[in-house]
Amino acid sequence: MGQLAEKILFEQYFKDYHFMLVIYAQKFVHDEEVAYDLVQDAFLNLWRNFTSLSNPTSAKSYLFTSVRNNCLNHLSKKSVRKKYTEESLKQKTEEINDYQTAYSSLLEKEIEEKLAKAVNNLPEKYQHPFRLSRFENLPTKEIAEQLNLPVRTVETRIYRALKQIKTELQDYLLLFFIFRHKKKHSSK
Amino acid sequence: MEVEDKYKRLLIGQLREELTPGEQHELFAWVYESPQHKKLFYELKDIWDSSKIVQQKHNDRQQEEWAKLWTEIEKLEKKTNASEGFLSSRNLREVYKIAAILIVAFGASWFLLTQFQKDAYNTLEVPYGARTNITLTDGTQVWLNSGTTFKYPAKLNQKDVDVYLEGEAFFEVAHLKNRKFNVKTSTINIQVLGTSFNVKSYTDDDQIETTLVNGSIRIDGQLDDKTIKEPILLKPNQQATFIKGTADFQVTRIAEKQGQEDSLSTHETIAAPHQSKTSLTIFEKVKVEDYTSWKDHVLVFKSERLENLTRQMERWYDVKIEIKDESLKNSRYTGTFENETIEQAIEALSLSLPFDYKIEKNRIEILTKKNS
Repeated sequence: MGQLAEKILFEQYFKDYHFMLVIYAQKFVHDEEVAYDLVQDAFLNLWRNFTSLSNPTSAKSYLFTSVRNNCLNHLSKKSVRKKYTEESLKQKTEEINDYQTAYSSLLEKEIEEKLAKAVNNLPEKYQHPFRLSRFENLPTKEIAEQLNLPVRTVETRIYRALKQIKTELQDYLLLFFIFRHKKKHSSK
Repeated sequence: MEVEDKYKRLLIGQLREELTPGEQHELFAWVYESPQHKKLFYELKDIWDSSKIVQQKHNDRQQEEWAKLWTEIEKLEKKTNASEGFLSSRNLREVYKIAAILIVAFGASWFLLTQFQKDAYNTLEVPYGARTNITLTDGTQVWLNSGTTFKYPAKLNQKDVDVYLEGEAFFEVAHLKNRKFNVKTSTINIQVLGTSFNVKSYTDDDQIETTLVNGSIRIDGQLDDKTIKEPILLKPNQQATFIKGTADFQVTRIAEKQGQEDSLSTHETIAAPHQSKTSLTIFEKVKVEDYTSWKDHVLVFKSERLENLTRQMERWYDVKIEIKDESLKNSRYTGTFENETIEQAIEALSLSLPFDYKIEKNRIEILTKKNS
């Protein structure tokens, strides 16, 4: 592959996966700026190994793996460890490991449209607090004040929102590796 | 699986990062207690995390990141190339040129990509005191009343269209063959084939009204936890009124809806929101102009309860109205406001009902009429 073609393809991967990967990184690392940096590093890695990874499927799984590894490295740094509680550090490390071996995220399945639909299908009384919490990033207390509801009710409604989306996306939430494995074989 | 309320709340608190270390400890003890708990936690967390993708993408930021990455890569290339003595300065200039073109091309394709993103929705929020109308790309016209939020696809194609409404709107839907146009509200969904109709569905109202002018529509959906079992088909000049209540769903058909005093008994059944039954009433024949005139800047009230009426006036005039006298809330008013200012409107109301009132900036208090 010529250099120009390589660059065009690389650019395409960037467009396709950059936003997704930044969100993916924030699964494990809460600081948004750090997430951007870790994704940047993943793309640099991809570029360095590009000729062997020009196939879209391998490039994609390389990027996700690379972001996970970068997150794991980041969380193992001493200076970073201080920023998280013991509990949440343990949980996050375990979660990354689970995603390394057994699980895959909705993000990897590229079902953005279905996810958007599931959110829009929520009854207003769940959708509104969910949107304020997730998209506007308002603290639960503020949402409670704004909607004139008890904090407990807001939390329960956000829970219900997630639960309903879960019901709608149940088919895609089969998280196990076996599922992906099978698919890979059958496509060959 | 039934999850205790306590853990539901801890779980949400964890996603929002609002928990104390103690609470986290309690939550994770529960999460790791069984594989089912862990699976549920991971699934809900993944939905929470992934749902961010639904939000509008940060295009500017992404272009910025690309430029940064590109510079980094060029530095890298330069280094390896220099160490290999491979690239002459002339060749290097060539590479920069290509890079510049790529960046421009990237920007352009990015622009196009976002313009044509099929799932991009626009949101229009009409403040209190204002009204507006828009024409969608398929020719559908929508009038939006005060205090309404309307979400519609940036691009309408031959595929089915879903729009979202909270508040009041009048639709004139362009007729396209084999296409479904759906209006969704927090409670009801309306499926449309080329038609014009009015929907009034404010979350702070107890009553949801759908009035059909012409064509035909199909309504389904749910009120709180009660689902409408059979979709309702409306014919021109019919109106479906839902009243949010607490008990069972009740459907009635009433031949005529007149706003006059002689039909108060009919009205009683539809306009008393504190009755315990959730109800759906279909009026076989209404004067549609009364329900659509707002789009021509005319407010029509037909034997409307003062409490409902003031809520509409709050939106219309962007004021705050407080009824200090409970007994006044149920009194009814029939009348039309066209070019009246809020002061003139309140004065007219106060004479006919009657009551006293105080106006202070945007706040109006309605008080018991003192006998003079």
